[in-house]
Amino acid sequence: MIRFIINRTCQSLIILLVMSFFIFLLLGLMPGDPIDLLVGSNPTISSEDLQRLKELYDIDKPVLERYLAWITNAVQGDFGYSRLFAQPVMDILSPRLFNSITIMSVSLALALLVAIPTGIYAATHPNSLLEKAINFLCFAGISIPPFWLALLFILLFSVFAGILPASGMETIGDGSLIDRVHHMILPVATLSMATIAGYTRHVSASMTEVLQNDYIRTARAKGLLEKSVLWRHALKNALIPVVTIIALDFGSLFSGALITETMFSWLGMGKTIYDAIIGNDYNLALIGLLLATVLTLTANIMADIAYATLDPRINYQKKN
Amino acid sequence: MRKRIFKTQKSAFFVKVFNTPTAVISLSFLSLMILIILLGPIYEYLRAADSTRVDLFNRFSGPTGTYILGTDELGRDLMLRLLNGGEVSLSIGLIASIIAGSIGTVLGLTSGYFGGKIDSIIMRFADTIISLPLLPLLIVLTAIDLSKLGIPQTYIDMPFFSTFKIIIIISLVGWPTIARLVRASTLTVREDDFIQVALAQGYGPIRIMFKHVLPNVTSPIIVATTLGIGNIILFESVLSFLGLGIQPPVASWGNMLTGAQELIYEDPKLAIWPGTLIFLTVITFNFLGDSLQRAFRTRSIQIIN
Repeated sequence: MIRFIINRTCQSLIILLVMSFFIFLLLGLMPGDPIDLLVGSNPTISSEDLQRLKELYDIDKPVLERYLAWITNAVQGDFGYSRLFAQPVMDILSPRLFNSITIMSVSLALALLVAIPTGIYAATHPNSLLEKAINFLCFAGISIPPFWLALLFILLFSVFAGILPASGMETIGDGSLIDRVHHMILPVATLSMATIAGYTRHVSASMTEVLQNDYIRTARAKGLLEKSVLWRHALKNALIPVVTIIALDFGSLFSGALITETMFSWLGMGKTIYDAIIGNDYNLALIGLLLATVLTLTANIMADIAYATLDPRINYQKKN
Repeated sequence: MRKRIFKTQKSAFFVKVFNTPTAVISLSFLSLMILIILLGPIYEYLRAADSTRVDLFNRFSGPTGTYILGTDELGRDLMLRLLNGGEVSLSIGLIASIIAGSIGTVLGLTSGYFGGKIDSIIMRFADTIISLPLLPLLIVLTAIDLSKLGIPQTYIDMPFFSTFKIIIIISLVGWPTIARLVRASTLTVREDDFIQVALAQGYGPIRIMFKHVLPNVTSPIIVATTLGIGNIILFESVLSFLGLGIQPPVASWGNMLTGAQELIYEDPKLAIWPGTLIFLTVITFNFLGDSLQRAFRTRSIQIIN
């Protein structure tokens, strides 16, 4: 097991390294370079100053050399400065990472709380009216454009009803816990909607499959309560593939967070990455994207570990 | 129950699909929508206007005789813009899913047929793409300046360039799902006797892959491609909404929503119409894909009965 974890971590590090070069390359292809932007804001700049700036930022060197210089610094913990905020990149990203993780974990918890019972109900009552309604709602949930759902929520709860704030993380001058939770309702509702729909479908499909097994028949034949058959015998096995899917799906949860954060001006990683790319803030965009990649890769490793822990039949030693 | 005997698997499949109400409703709805969108130019001709015509005296107009659905913040005809936008959004969905489907099919066949090193390289690549946070990466891809890659500025300035760019970018990240499904089916088909026969005949790998394996793995390809169309339309709308996909003045359902957030207090209909159309189209493609999946899964059972 430990060997397997080390193995997967090494693989992920290689992917991360490749991704960092790839993103570095792509960001170099974005319109304009930092010097152009400086010149734009200061027309009196002389050509000697320009040359000096170019040398300072290493713009005139080939991309591989710049990448090596960047990664040498990055490995030593120096991630550079943000152009938009004129602050070290990490000082900006760490509170935002926290904000993102807050809405992502609240949405995830909410999604699981709703999806597991709903999925079990759908699997145990096939072809009932309620099951059909659940199925339809799941399709609606995965088909609705998340940014449009956010717009509808704003329209309903902020414009028409006027009971929930349309954007921001807290009322200026307030900032109490209740106020923060109040601001969190709409972003969390938006982010969890697609997640709930997807998870319910997975839980229900997995439960339907598990319920056809012989050991479920045996459990029922023993005279066990239906409740205990479902929750103790079936659910435990049904959740194994679901856990994997949830962890592997982390990337799309992050994509959803980017949209939600942008729509509700929630100062998280997703919004920061988007603003950095639009505002030509290379360092911030680069580190933001890499942090997002690290989060996803970690979730993937955790998926594999969870899979092995939950299902004793899986033995990674033999495979490797 | 009366026994039904079908001449071929194909007719059995079509009977099954046309016996599924969801599939019939989805197909009719999509056909109707495509028909209306294709008739858009005729409506444009009758109205003697196009979707980019600005009418500043009739901004935010409600539905009138001239403007069936009203106008937007520049007084452009909402109906015409929805028709044009639909053409763009649907074409992107269809073309990109066909390209992604083809790439996925070829790579999946190769991966499953040859196995070994080729298989592990392709699949590791596919897994990596699937597991990455796609939206931020797509944003970077759409934001890059193509003139730095040596593409002449004249091409970049062409009105439909952003459409091509989106199709290519989405196709490049959309293939892994299909590749994995095709690979899984190829692995089972490869063990069949007729492949051994083909090998004994001395056929080359390309011929076996495309003439013998491919016809037996069409069902996952069709299902995954149908489900992919909905996803691609969603991705396009998100990118266009963020201002990185289809560039104005070309309308798409996504970029029509870009300004809608600021105007939501003034004119909610601008947010409601394009979003409803995206939602209906995507959900219909998803229902269609789901019913195809059910039809394919039970096909063999029906024939035995």
